[in-house]
Amino acid sequence: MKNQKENIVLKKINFKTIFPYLGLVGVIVFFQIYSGGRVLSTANFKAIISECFFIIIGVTGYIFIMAQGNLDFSIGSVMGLCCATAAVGAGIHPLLAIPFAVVPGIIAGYINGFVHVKLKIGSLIGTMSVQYIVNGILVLALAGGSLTAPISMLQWNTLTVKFIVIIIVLSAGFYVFRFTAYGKRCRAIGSCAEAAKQSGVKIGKLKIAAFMTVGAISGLLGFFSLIRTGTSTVLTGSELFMNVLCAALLGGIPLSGGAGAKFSSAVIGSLTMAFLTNGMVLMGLSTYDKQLIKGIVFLITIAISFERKNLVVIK
Amino acid sequence: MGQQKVLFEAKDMFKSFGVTKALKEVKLELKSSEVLGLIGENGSGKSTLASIIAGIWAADSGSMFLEGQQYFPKNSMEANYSGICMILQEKSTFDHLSAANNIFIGAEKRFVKAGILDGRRMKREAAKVLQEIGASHISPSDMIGNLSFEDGKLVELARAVSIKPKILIVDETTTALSRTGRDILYLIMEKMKKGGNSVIFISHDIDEMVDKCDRLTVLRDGNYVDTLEKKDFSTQVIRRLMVGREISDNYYRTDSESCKNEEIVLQVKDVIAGKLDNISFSLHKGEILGFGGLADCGMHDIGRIAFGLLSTDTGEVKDAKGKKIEAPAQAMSRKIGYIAKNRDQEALMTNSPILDNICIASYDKLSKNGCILPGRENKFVDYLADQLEIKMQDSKQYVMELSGGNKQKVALAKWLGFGADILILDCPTRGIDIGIKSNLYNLMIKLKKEGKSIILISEELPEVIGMSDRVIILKNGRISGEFRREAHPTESLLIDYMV
Repeated sequence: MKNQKENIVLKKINFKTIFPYLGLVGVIVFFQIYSGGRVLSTANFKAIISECFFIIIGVTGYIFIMAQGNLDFSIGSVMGLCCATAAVGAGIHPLLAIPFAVVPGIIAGYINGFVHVKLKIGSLIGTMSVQYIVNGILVLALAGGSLTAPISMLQWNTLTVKFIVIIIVLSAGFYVFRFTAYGKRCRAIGSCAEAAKQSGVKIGKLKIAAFMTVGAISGLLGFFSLIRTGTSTVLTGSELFMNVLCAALLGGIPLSGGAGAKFSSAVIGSLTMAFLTNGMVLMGLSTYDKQLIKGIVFLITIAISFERKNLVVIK
Repeated sequence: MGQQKVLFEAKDMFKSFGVTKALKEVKLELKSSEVLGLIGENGSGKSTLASIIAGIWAADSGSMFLEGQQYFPKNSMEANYSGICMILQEKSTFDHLSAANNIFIGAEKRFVKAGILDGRRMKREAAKVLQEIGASHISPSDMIGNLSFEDGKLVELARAVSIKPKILIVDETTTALSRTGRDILYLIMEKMKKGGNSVIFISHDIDEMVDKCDRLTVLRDGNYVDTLEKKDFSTQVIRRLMVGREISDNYYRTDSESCKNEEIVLQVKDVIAGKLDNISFSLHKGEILGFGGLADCGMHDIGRIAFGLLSTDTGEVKDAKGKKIEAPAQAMSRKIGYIAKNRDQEALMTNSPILDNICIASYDKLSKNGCILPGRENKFVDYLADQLEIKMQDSKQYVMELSGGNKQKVALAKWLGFGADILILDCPTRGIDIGIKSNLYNLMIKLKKEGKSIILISEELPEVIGMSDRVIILKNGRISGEFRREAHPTESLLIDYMV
């Protein structure tokens, strides 16, 4: 009787945890076959790291928001704006590009948090509005043109730098998410905000902090986008939100947040997403084809992993 | 009584929720013109059985017969059409509709002519039904949201009566009602009997069951135990059948001395907030201060203001040093812990592991240089789970899989681990079996001896009387009486102050 009970519980957990890994392996195997073995080749390794870079760093910040059961639609546009401010900073001194990118990101994050917490607007609507506002500012500021960074900065865009940044951000994210009160409280909010509040968690503060974390990360990505392409345009960052959310869901982070949000999901999901995008590039698909396929994958992932039982509407 | 014909019968009923088997081969036989009591501890399956009969859930297997015909309702509406209607413990009216609309919900067709609803006729009919059950103080056009909880329940009763059911199921409704409300309900039950119809009555109050029922069916852990005839009713026997072993009559405190410590640890002064109207009291070190009253009297808000959850309109809540308490985090810095009445929604994260639930209040204590190592958490939780004898697979198990009593132990472990000096417990034994109940009472006595103070808010008067050094009774948000333990207040005396 007891064994039977344990078995049922095990089965339930197993499928949920295995699904993201199956997804990753499935994607790799599929493209490995269809690209004629090019996906897992040393030449492609660099491309995978590049592809993975923006997503994995984005998801590392994003997991704190998702753990709380919130979403942030504005990360892409914030990244775009921060890329522009970074270009302005770089014009003064190349090293200034970093603070010029991160600080506006943090400010945008604070605005998101303020709208959600103080004005009590759901994060879905709130961050969507901020997304449009930030985008509007960027379009006005660029006035139809684009900003460029000094050519010398492009030399920072190396595999080693990316690799080191990924390692640093991942370990910092992992540590904070798993071993600090902040990370644990973020999950508590997503699990049951009222119970968290009645256990002394300062919900408003932590929500704002999470939005600011994501803002800072978006800013950092704006900087790396600048040294990757050398320019800031209105299109910078436009794919970030969809890629990050897709990766998070592919990795198995539940939309409702809470204890089900695992850090390993961020890594698995990002890799899956990177292999998926990369594989499609190798197959020579156009941007629009890629979007079509991503949309379908996104839908299938949600259909399989979504917890309909405790269906929570994102607030 | 043997010649009464059988009105309803259920046989071999099985029902599981996930891995929990709620009903195992349960049977029930209801005769016409009788009140059948369904009794058992929490989790015994009585509400599940009632809900299946009322069409709210479907049984996994088993058969039911209404007047000899196969009865298999797909939903509660279909059960209504067959003449079976259920009144629940929880509120099941629609706040934004009028009383008349609530009474005739699902039966609006009766008032429709050429596609137009005759609202006036509906209200007239509603008034007639309300008059009939003796609740004419409710107007058919009152919005339910503006009515008190009790009046809302009466509207539900009116709705049930308007269906003219053959079987009325009353599930734990009386706890929410005042004496007047109860009398109305009892009268309806009498009328049902006289009309040849029957009632299935569920209540926690054994005395009430003995008084009102003709026969009693006892369930335990989802099993059918026995059915008693009226002549065999005795509290002792019923309790033994419910629990499966002898239970001593008294598991409360045995001493009759109230706490004499004059040291004040918490002071509430002239507070107006929520349902509370000008409340002042102080809590002393080592004291169990009980609050009692009707469900609607505002006693639950006492806990909320004392923990800083509900901010006061006027007046203040202060700690021993006279510093104000205005938020939960502030209350916690004064070593106050609080377990809300709605345990699963407010006190616990049921969707999280036991470990997270116990540690959440103590992260500051558990972290070293900002880092919380899993080892420290595990040790902390293992110690507490051991102390409180929490029955679990391991600390990674999710709280939602635990029984009510073990859930409450997890909530208590959180505050014991935190090191609370003042514990505010709102209905701590709600939905908890007798066995764990006595565990909790022993724990409260132990905490009191250690010099901790407890605010005990409860809807069960015997518990408040049995455990408290001092009992404060609330009525309409005001303090209507205060009794020390030595005075040995009786239940009936306190009820006089409540209503």
